[in-house]
Amino acid sequence: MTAPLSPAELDDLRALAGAMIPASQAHGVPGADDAEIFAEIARGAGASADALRRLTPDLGEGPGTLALMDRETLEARLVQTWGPDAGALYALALMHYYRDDRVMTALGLEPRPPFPLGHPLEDADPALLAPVKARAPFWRPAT
Amino acid sequence: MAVESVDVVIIGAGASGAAAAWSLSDTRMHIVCLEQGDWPDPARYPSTGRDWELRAMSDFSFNPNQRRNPGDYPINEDNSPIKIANFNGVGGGTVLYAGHFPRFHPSDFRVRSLDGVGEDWPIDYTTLEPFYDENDRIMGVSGLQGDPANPPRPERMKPIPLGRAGAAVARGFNAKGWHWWPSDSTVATESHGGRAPCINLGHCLHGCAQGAKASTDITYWPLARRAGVEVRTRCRVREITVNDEGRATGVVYYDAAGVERFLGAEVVILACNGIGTPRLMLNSTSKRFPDGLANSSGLVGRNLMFHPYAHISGRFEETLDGGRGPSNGLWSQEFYETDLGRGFVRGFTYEFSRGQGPVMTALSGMGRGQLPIGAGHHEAYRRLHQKTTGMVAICEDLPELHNRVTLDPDLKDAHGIPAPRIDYTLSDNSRRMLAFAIDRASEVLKAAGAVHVHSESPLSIGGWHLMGTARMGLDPRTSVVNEWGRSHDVKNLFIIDGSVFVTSAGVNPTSTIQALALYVADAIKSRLANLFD
Repeated sequence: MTAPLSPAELDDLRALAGAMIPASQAHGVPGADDAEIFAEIARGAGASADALRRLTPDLGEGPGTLALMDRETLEARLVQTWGPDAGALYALALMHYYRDDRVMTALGLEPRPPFPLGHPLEDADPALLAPVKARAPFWRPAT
Repeated sequence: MAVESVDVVIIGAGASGAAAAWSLSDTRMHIVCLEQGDWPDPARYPSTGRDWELRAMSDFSFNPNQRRNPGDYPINEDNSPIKIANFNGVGGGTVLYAGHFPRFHPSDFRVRSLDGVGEDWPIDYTTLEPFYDENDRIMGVSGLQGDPANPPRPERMKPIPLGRAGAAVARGFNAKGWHWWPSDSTVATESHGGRAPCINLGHCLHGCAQGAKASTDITYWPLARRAGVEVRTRCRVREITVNDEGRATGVVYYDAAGVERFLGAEVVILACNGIGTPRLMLNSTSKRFPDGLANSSGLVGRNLMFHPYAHISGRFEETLDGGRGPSNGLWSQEFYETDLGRGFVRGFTYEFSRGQGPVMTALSGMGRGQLPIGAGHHEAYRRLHQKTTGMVAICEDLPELHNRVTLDPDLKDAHGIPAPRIDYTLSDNSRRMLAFAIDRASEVLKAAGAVHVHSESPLSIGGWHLMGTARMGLDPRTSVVNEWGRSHDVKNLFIIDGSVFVTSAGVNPTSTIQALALYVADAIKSRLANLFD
């Protein structure tokens, strides 16, 4: 069984999350290292612990060292060494980042589940179907 | 201890088991359905919570190996490029299907005669047509009459709205001069049979919390239970037993408490899908049937057919629907009937695929290399968010003996019952069809205004349609059941799921599976006096 992440490893994971999805003032969104978002990421990180442990030596000196790097350096190293483990951690960050209330609101989405309110969906111009309606049947009869 | 015995035991409470149970209920026979999963609880469907997209990848995943619910059994699918999708519970696959509800075409039943491949079915479209109609009535179908690609249909509820994405794709088909039509769908657009109309939750594929999408737990089962059919959940059948005369005597199963029980039955009906049914038959060995129940042809588990899928999506500049609304809503069957000039035999259906929610947009963008990390992330995400739509191509798969379900020598389920192993390779015909489908869909999307087109083929998660592994036919040497679903070898054993398909056609199979189940049930009822002759 995979051991849970240590505090130093969690610091590294948070630094990675922030390098992957940084905060943006221009878009009015926090980064994935935001306290609330990272708490969700950390909660869901169990299956990704091994990926982090394999990745850390490629990026830094050992547990806790990624958290000491500046974001641009860490991002550059991630890009250089990108592989399945980095991809797994990126997916983990994305899964939790894009359901945060602030992120959803910034995207123009209501921060709520689909049910029970649902969503509006426009109907299209019925005239779109006119050329297809004009076609003769073309299925093959067979008995 | 007294042995419990019933008139009919149905194994599996999904699309076909529910339809047959309802149809047979008017006989007033004692009917019990054994289901290894549980009743779904719509109040717990993913779309009721903020983690709806995450749960689609965990406890509501299509794939049982990923989902690992108590009702699931493992499947060794390592030797298949297409992974199995199913749902084990009352409603079966209808809980997680999209509700896309096309019918087979008349030509699909005459594949050998018309195109020289596969085999002809022992029945034809006109045989099934009244059962298609009856099934449409119970399930509740939306759509539009007058499709030139299909024979006439009964009146339907109004079609699912196209939305911005559907309209864009429709414009693309129109620009090419190719067929498209509002899909037949079991997503109710009006109140139907106590079900509320669709409110565009956009999560049809992981259980409809609104109850707008027809799944048999909310369509057939309430009717069948009211008529006296009993459903026992969390009951996993280990084997079907036979006597010395080769007649099925009943089933051995584990009940919800894990206790082994025997249920005697005059008639045994298998409705466990194209994987579960051959698995159970192969697990039911006896002196009389050492190679598996009713397997004198050697075809139980063989001729496994999926529909190889290609997914083709386009990125647009305009804002579309994202994850709002049913995933489908239109189809194109421009390339459905055989034209050998295309480089392959048989054909396919395009099923519109509307768009994705925020998490799936991100994950898809990552997978396609469209979503960088770091400073450029947010700008790139906004180029994808609600700006992607497309379609899947559902390609006809032809039966091949080497594509098969066997029993894994090592893998077992929670009750120690041997699990199925899948061996499947994609045919050259399928590869050519998929490539053609991608090229034409790319043309449609570009004509619709897509600035970038991406495709994935075959869609690895797309083993939704499980067919052919106990096929029907007139000749016991080349088929497992006869033309009305009764086993050639065991006169009181019937199969009513996708296993009996002779060929796969190029459409979602659920309406045909259910029409067949109603047809077989009708055959049973009309032959009750001499059913086992």
